[in-house]
Amino acid sequence: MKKNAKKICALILASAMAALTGCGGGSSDKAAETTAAAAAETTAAATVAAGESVSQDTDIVAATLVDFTTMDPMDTSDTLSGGIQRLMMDGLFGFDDEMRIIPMLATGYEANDDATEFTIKLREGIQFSDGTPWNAEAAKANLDRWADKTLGLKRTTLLCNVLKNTEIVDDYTVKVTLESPFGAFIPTLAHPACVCVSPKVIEKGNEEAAKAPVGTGQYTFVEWVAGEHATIALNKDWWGYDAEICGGTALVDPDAGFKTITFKPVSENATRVAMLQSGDAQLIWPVPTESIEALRGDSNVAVGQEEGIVVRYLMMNNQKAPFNDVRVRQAINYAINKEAYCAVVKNGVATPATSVIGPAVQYYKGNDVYAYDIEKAKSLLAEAGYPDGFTTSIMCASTTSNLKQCEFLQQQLAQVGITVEINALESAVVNQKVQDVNVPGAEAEVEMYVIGWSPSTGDADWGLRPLLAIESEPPMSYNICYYENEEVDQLLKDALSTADDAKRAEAYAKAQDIIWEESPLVCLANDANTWATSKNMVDVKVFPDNCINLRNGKMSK
Amino acid sequence: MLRYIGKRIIGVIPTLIIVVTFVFFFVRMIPGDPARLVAGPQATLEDVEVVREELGLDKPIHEQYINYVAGLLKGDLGTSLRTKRPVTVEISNRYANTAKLTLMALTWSTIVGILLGVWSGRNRSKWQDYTGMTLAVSGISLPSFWVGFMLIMIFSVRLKWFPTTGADSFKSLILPSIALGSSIAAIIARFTRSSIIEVLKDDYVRTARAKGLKENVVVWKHAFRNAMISVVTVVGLQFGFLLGGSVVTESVFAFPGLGSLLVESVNYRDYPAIQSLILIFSLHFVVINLIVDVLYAVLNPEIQLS
Repeated sequence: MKKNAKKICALILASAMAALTGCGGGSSDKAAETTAAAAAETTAAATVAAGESVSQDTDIVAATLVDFTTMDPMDTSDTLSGGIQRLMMDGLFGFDDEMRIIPMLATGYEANDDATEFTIKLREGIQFSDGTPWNAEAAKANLDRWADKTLGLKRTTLLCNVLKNTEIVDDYTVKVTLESPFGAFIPTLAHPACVCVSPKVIEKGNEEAAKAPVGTGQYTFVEWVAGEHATIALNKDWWGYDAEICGGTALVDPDAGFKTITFKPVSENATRVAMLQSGDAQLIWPVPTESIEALRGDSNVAVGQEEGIVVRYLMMNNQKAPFNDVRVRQAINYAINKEAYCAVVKNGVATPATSVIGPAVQYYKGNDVYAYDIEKAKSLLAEAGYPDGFTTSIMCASTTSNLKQCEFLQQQLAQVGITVEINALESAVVNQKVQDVNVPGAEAEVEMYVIGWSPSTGDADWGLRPLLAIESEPPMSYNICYYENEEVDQLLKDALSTADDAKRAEAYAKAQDIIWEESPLVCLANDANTWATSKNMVDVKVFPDNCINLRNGKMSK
Repeated sequence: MLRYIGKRIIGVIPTLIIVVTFVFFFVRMIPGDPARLVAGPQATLEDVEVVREELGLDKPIHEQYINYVAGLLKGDLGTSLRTKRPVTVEISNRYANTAKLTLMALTWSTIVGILLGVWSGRNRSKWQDYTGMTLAVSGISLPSFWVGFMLIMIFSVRLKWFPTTGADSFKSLILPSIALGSSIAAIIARFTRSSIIEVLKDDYVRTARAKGLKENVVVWKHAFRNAMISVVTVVGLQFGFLLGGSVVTESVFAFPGLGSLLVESVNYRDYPAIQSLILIFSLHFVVINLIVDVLYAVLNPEIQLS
């Protein structure tokens, strides 16, 4: 008995250790919209002559970093799941390859001046893959679901406080009334969470939506075995192939699309690369930065890299000394060499950030990168009363990439006398210490924090408000800088209270300038998105938000 | 013997009660809030409270414990907080994968380990011994992720004999079972060798040799059985560990087994899943220990089970 007890204790310890060592993996990189962006070109891939593609007769395997979390778009907070959902379901609006907004299940809209009423025209002649017709009733069912707080879905926060009610005007027109002016309404409808599911699925409830989604999309759902694979099959009747429904030109070429696509979660970077090289997978993303060069040299593989919209930040708690002094924040900004950051931390697969939001985001206004200037940083610190620097800490989830980042920042700041302790914790613990705190910034534990953010609506609102508005301080959202600037807040509100492009652009430009000057966070870099395919695959890429874009994918023999 | 087994099974009950209780309270001591993780990053505090209530995590902890134990007695492991499906469903799929892989890895490593150990042991301090033990030390020292990647590079990428990943065919199990089993084969070889060396010194072996029996008969018929007693213990322990899934090998081969499930569950603070997994792992050890003890008696009737 004694022996047994000992063995069991050892087992529990061993399991606990296994668990601890494993903690760094998985969750970090898929954490809420905190995934991968930078200017670059796609490797010139092979081309397929019109009508020559064999893709519609080919089954392909795509290896991804993590598993999907759910098939319910409204309950999805990671880009990967959003990617597969976008293949099966269409939104009222969507994005083209450059993430410009295009009408999908809608054909257009009209808004009133103060952005509180939107009349949306729906596309005709479309049905869900379960046979339910797409019409005003189906649109209302979806809009009502997005407004329903009681469903307990992760993404209802996007719209539940915005939507007031939806009226059916005629069979193909709905009128949406908002609680208050919301100029970013149409971009928000293009968010991957706002794709439309069949009203029959909505009727059956959340559980059905989470495991058996039905949409109007290019692919239909086949099966999802959590931890193993998810498979979708081509829907040749998709409206995107039909020039007439599309209003002239079809959305994609008639021979685009793959017979089936099987997604496999493969967390180990080297294994993902090996799968592509051995032909067990035809598509992998992201490509581990350390393998990019090797894959570029492989004649059977095509590597793609394109600027994305994820920006990496070093956040500082603006309510806590010494970061409550703008000179200290600027000094830190000057002390960090962003070029070196991109080269060392990101293996060159990134470019220095020029605003809080990336260039591909609507209403982006760039500024000059804070030059790497140690002398200036030191004199600013001295001016602020810290001639010998100070000691502080960075909190982060303990993933390899985070640690690499933090060690780089630690070394950079040491040059100006700032001693940084790295406080790497398991992601759920970080969540609790950083996100789940309901105290004023001055009392919060966090001093510095590293985070990445991708505004999946492609609009400046979702890139600025969650990170820097006063209302977004934890626990509400991600203003972990506890940045409180009434003027910026007002500008963000002004930009939302109109649907007028010029007015919105002006407000966001001003807000970005103020933020750049006040430096509540250091904008480090714009990640580039990477993917790699077998050489015969054409027109496969990822959207700037790192969702996979297979819409026009083709394959030569 | 049956009475002994019956007694042992009854003796297991307190062990399991301790495991169930400790695990229940320990997982709740880990910082991190499952309700927050389920509710999502932008949920308000009220939303989180609603989720907490839904998950039954708002109840006093003793009440939660009583509910959990009551469920266990009915064979209900609870519902996963992460996937909202019954834990039994979540586990069963992965369990089958891990069991298949374990059986394969353990079978080959036991056979190879024992053969290598006997070969080295009976040829002590000769070239056979040095070769065998060099192999064994390599097997223990080479980290399994490295072995795994090498196997993939050679047999999947270069030769294209085996798939890189997967758990659906016999072929796909071969590479991971080699990566997983190589260190176990090495451990077994070392134990077998020292055991054989010990046993070969015993009087009855000398007697057997004096009777003029062939060396093969002496080793395999007389010495081997006795030498197996310590080896059986090692194999049993390894069996238990393997059934818990290997996080490293599973991630190298993207193998959907219990190890990665445990890690995912811990990351998500999926209390019911963690509790169930640890309970199952403990059960493995209890059962394996029992089998090992019974095997002792089979191998050496002098050992009395009581």
